[in-house]
Amino acid sequence: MNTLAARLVLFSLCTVASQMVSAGAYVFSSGANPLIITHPNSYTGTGGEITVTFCVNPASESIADLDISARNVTTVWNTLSPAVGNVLLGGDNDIQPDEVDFESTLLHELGHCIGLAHPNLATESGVPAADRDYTQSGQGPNGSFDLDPGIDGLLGSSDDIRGDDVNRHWFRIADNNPFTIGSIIDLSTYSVDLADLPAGDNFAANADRDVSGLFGIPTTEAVMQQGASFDEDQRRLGHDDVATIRLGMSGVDETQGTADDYTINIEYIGVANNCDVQLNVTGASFAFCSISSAPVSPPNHLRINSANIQLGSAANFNWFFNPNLIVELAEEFFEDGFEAVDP
Amino acid sequence: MFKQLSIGVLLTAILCCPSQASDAPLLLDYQREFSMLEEADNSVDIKIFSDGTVQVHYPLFMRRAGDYRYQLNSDELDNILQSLRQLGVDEFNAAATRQALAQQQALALEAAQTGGGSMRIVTDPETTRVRIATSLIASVDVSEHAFSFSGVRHQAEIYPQITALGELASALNILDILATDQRMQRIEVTP
Repeated sequence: MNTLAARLVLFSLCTVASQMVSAGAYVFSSGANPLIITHPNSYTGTGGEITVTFCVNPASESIADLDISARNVTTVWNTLSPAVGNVLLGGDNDIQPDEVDFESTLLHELGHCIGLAHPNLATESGVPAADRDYTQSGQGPNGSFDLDPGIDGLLGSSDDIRGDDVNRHWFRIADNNPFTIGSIIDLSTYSVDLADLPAGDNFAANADRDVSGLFGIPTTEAVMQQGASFDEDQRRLGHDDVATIRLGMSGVDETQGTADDYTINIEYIGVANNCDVQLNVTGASFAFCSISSAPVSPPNHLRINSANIQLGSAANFNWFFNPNLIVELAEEFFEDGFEAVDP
Repeated sequence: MFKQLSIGVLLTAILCCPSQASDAPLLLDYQREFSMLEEADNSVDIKIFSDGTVQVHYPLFMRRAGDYRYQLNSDELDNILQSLRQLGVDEFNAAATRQALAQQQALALEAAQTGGGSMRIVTDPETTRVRIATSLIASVDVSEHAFSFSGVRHQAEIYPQITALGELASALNILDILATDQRMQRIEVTP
């Protein structure tokens, strides 16, 4: 009996942790701990504005080329303005067919560095590439992912049949629509518990570009969704990105409008050391953020303690560096009329 | 070691049909997948053939985009194969390593949640895929060993106690060097 119990504990440890790395809606969450919310560096549980400093490592390559993109991504994350139609491909952007957009990649990695994970079953899940658009989850008691796209055939939509998989994607209780957002974003309006889904929905939908088509909006995808293309501009946040950050901003009580709420001010310093987030362009890896944790309020609230972004050397990768500095972000976002923010 | 290989073993170690790079049997196929990009062409692919031919593919978004080939001499090939054997690539057990990793991650998270430690993760891990003709370079009696693993290098750095990961990371470094050899000549490969 003791042996059996030990095996069960071991099995539990293994199955719940196996997709932990960079997982769920928040980094450090897992199938066993889907309620974990990870906050940016500097948040200790006390409300108010928190400042996250962002620097380029003095030893970085491409310092002059990346400066505008570093400023732009800082503006985008500080503004938290959700957009639809944020995926611009081919002739809709100024990127060449064999190039990858540095700014879009940096925007994604900076999101990791302030606590966000992939909304989809990304590389860390170990599933084949064809299954990576399913919604982020743990494997559940059976120790494997249950992946059925449902009647619509679309991965990551609300009719997916996921067996005993443990949802880790915070969804909007009102409509399970990751392309909308409300004015109140806290535990009263968002959940990871599948019992809170709207009637008829099977699983949390994620903000994948193919799923956006179900809602009849222009091609839209969460910036934090893993899976980009060459020749792709995705420099504006989706609603899901904003909602996830704002859920964290409701503080450790997970209630908006209370004393522990915070706002985030990412401060781009330029070339310097010892910032909360350091950017380094070098090497043969494509892109990643290396993050360590610190506790805020046990057991479900952690924060980023250190964050280092590395994007590969321009000697190895065909980066496109955006030459245009964002000046009027909000006007640019909403000039197309696709505000899509519910009251 | 290469010279010690028997012709009989060579003949039985063919992984697949002859490649366009060489008619010799394929010894090893290593793919370094940049998983953030969901394009089909998102990997550096290194193939080593039994006659010493090395063929390298770089995807479209890399500076070296295209296909290349060059020839290792028998001593070079011998050294590489010996190193890979010593690092256990031919016997790497992905499932067991994942289990060991999961246990370490669970402990790290528990410590992080209770304030007893810090957990470290690295986002957007690359995926390593290896297919290897073990009968050519190892003692085990199987004709092919294939595995994939995400984030080998970073996980090896974070969890050095998992020696299999550290050894695999070292092996990947050896293989990566093959893709930067100055002898590489661009070739045209028809799909």
